[in-house]
Amino acid sequence: MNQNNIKFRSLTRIRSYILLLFLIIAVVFVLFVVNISLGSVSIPPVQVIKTLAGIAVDNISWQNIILQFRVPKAITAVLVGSGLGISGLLMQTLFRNPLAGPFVLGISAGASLGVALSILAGMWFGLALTQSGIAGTWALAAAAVAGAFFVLVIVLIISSRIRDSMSLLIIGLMMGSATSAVVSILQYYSRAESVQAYLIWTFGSLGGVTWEELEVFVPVILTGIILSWLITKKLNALLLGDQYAESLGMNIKKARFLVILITSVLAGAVTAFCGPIAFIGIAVPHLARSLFRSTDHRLLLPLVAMTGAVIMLGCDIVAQVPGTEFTLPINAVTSVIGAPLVIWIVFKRQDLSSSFS
Amino acid sequence: MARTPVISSHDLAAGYASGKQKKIILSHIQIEIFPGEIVCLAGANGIGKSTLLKTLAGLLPPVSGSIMLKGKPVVSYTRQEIARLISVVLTTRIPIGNLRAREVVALGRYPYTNWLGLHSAEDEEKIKIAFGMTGTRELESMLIYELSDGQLQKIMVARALAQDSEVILLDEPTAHLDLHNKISIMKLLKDLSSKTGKGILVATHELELAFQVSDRLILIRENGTLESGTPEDLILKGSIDSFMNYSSVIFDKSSGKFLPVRSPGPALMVHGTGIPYVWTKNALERSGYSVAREGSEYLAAIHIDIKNDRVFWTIKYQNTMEIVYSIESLLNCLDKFFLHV
Repeated sequence: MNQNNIKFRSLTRIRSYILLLFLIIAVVFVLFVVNISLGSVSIPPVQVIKTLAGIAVDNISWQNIILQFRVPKAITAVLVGSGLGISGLLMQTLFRNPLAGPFVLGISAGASLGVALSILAGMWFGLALTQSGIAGTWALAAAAVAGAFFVLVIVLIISSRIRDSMSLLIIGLMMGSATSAVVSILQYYSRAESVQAYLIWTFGSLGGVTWEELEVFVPVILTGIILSWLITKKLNALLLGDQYAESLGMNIKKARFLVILITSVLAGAVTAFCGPIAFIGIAVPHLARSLFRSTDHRLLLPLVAMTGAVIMLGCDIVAQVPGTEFTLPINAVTSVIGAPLVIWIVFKRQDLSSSFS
Repeated sequence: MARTPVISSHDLAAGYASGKQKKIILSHIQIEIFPGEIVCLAGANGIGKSTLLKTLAGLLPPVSGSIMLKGKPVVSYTRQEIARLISVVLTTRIPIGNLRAREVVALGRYPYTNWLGLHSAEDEEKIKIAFGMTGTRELESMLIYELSDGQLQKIMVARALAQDSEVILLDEPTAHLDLHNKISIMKLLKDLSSKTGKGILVATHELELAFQVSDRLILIRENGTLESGTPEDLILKGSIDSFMNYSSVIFDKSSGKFLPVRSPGPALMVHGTGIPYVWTKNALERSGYSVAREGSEYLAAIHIDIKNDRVFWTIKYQNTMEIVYSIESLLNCLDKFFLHV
């Protein structure tokens, strides 16, 4: 009787989960179209859908704007939201800390160092990366990847030597601070134009990603998402703590290595193509959990990916300040929306510190 | 036929080894746990019980020596095979309070499920049995931070049961629990060992509880040596007296209890029987009096009588006699007589 009751309840729970997931996917589609139709030039959503469906539109310039600029940007927003959301979820689970995000291990700091070296120090060696402007994202992306990878390797080496995940968190934070300090020194000795170019990179940008870059960006993020889906069982066991997870037969060092690697791939790729995007990684997992209370990563993962896409598409719509010529730096928008979101969740769930997941 | 221990250690040294530095906490450990027995591992706080337990569980690498599982060296097993043989209940808190009791117990099936962690009918059955045996069915859908310490500990035992291992190692499972829960957990473990045939090793510093449930007791002394035997043998041999070497506590062999050392106060003769006698004696000793043996000298005499279902005490001291109707008045009266002594 009781057992049947529980079974019944878990069935209705799964049903409501699937409904919620479909609802959010629908919202992603709607926001995708809205995102494309809004901007400095407003395009009617019907025309957007027609263009996306491959039906010829009367206004060729609209078609160009949509296909060359806005569609890649909207796809980028979806990738950034999903990628950062999932890497935030992975870090919060690994460290069992509600404030962990994709960048706690110094990945964005490492990327910043790479970019800073290429922009700021680059001129000392006669490299003129800044000349090609922010649009020269390939070089910047390569520099960011190199920097992020450098920090990642150090963190991975350290993680294979220590048993305690909490120590790793502290080491990650310190690595971040140290790399930021190097960036500060570089800035201090650089010319104003270079500093400005670097600063603009730190503001983040979804618009700089071209179709060719998406050919790399899309598979990288998809790989990260699929890999994280493959380790959901390990993630669930990690919730019991390192020692219990180990007693269940899990190789904790291998699991930690995988989690860090996947996080780095996702967060590193996003940072390389779009700059350091703040707050999304921390806020999205909490938002997803508040939509559906669960600790099961098999359920959380798709939800976090879709919620991330919704938030990022929304942030980008706000950043364009619809109906005006202005655009805001995306990083400012994500922080302005993300910070109150986290505060709201903390207020709503007073017990956050003991039960964030 | 000689029984094979489910887990045994041979000249094991437990401790922490990092790089070239070795910190050995306990060495030359020989332990054997057989199927169906509950063994308590007793020792003072900080003596290394946890370290030993974690080493046996494979959570810490042995500094030296070896561990055998069912007669084969532990290194010949895979992680998954070990997880199917050994489960643990640790002192560490579950960091995520938002897990449901059911999810915690279900994670015990980790070594049996596929990569996605989907449960078979057998997994579901084992989880159901684990809740049933620990008497925690009604807690299934609760969040673990809503549980009391006693309930949480039972859920952790249920999780270990769901893991369906042949040995369960528990580290201080009764710490932070009230007396009722302490006894209830220990009884549960005792029942599990006899009903399921699992070997259970419980690290504890509560000897009085250990005397009541354990088939064997392993004492870790201050100097790191181990002594093993049935609790009764250890008591008769006098091992317990020398084990708890505190000046303020003595071990009372007749009751199996640890009592505070009392300096002999004024001797009183107590005449009476049954429960009232026991508690009168308790009250007098607790208040610093000593109860005189038959034939020895005493300062006052107390008679316990019952009239109309009511207990009363008659105190005879020198030429005075008083009758009181409660232990409290008895003690007050005695204080009046002996305060100046």
